[in-house]
Amino acid sequence: MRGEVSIPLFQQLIKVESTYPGFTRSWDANEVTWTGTVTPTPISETYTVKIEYSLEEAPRIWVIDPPLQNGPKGECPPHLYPEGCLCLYLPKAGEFDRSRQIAHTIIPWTALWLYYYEIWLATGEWRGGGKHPNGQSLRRNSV
Amino acid sequence: MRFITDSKETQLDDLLARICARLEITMTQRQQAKSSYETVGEWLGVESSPLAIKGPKIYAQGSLNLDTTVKPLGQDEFDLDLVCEFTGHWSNQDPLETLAMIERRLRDHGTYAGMVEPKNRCIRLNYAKQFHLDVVPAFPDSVTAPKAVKVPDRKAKEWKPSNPKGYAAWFEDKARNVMLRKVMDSIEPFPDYDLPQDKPALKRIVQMMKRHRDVKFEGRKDEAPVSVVLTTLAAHAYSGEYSSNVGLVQVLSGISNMVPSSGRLYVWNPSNLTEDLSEKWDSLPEHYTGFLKWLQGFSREWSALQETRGIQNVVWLLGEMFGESVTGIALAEQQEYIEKSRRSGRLGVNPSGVILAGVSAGIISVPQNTFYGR
Repeated sequence: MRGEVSIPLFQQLIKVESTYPGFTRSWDANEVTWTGTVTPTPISETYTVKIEYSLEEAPRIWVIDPPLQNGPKGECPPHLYPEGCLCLYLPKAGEFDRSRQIAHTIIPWTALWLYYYEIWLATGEWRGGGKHPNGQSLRRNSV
Repeated sequence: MRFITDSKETQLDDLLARICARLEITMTQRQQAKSSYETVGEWLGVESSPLAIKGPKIYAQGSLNLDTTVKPLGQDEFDLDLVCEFTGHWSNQDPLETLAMIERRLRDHGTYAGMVEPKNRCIRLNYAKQFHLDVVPAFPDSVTAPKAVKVPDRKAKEWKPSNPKGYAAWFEDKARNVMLRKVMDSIEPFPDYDLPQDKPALKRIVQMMKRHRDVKFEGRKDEAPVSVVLTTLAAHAYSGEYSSNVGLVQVLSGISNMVPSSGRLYVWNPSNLTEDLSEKWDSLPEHYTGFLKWLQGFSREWSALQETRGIQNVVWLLGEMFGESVTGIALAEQQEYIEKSRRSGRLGVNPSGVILAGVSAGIISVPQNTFYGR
């Protein structure tokens, strides 16, 4: 980590809740789960997303409904982890860590991902840029 | 500050504007056309020309003049309509001889000789891969109306009335009615937007109708409703909407309401009420039926568009209506505009709904990220 102060879970909770009125949450001591809707553009679908976050692990972002579709040739959407959660930033590149607000990073990036996902469904091309790893999974990496 | 994702309307209107921009004549082509027809006019009117004493003046009419051009399907060239107005009294001139005179004069020119193609009411000059200039000779007919003219009809061997300037004035008045002007004055433009923002919605609506017609009648162009009929009906039905999308909803519904339950719809020339612009429906009633079917289909598709969600679904439907290629380009251009905003830090999310939006008070800026994963 960059030596910055980690934001406590309850502060992340307050920030997400006060910023995004449509998001609800549940939490136990260690992990919070947010559920809310994201409509990347006015002519886009409205997606229900779930975000799981504990300070020990990278946040996991799931699209619950409508479920993610495969492309015209049956291929899975790009920029997903093997588990199926969204891959929104380059790990260990400082784009996200425990010192950053979920409300100002993960949630906006989710909207952006869904925007490019719809364009990918329309065109077969992922136009949002990004990088691909060589087969690593997200599985419990620390941020 | 306004942004193209402020509403479903603004986002759809942006896509529609981009589709129309792709289909219409460009500024450069327009200037080339003007320069070309002015040169033709000089050749016809220069002192040494046999036509010089008749003082010809060439000006644009039709879609070039109204700014509703749409490139025909499967063709590289725009069809541009021009009037070549002479001085003198029409009753002293023979219509067929007038056409022949112009054709002869054009064929006397080394370059034009190879481009000339006589047609029923005009002489066409083919500028390959650019445009067809359809030159209609005309004489003034100010008895009928201040700027009216007579134009030749080869088949009928007589002069027919026409009033392109009167029609244009009527159409422009419909396009910029009082209500609309008030709205346009009160709406601030999008910052750093890459398209002109003052084109009236009615003109885009006419372009969309012509294009939709071209796509649906592909391969059977002669059965299709003619452009002047569509333009006139649209202008009658339009009621000053600012949004092209909403305006087209109104126009399609308005035209449907004009269709009588018995007999057929008549489309009179608003600048010459004795002229039936839709006269071919008399001799070809099956074309009228075809027009009604097309109108119904378009209305259904346009209604469906209002409820469609998911960019992929909207793009698919627009592609069905206007062509996949232009729709794909419009999507790419809209995306580029959004990305340009992101690069200059003007893109954020609106916290209620989490919608991409222009940065302003209450909007969360989207920080840099790199998508990763498979």
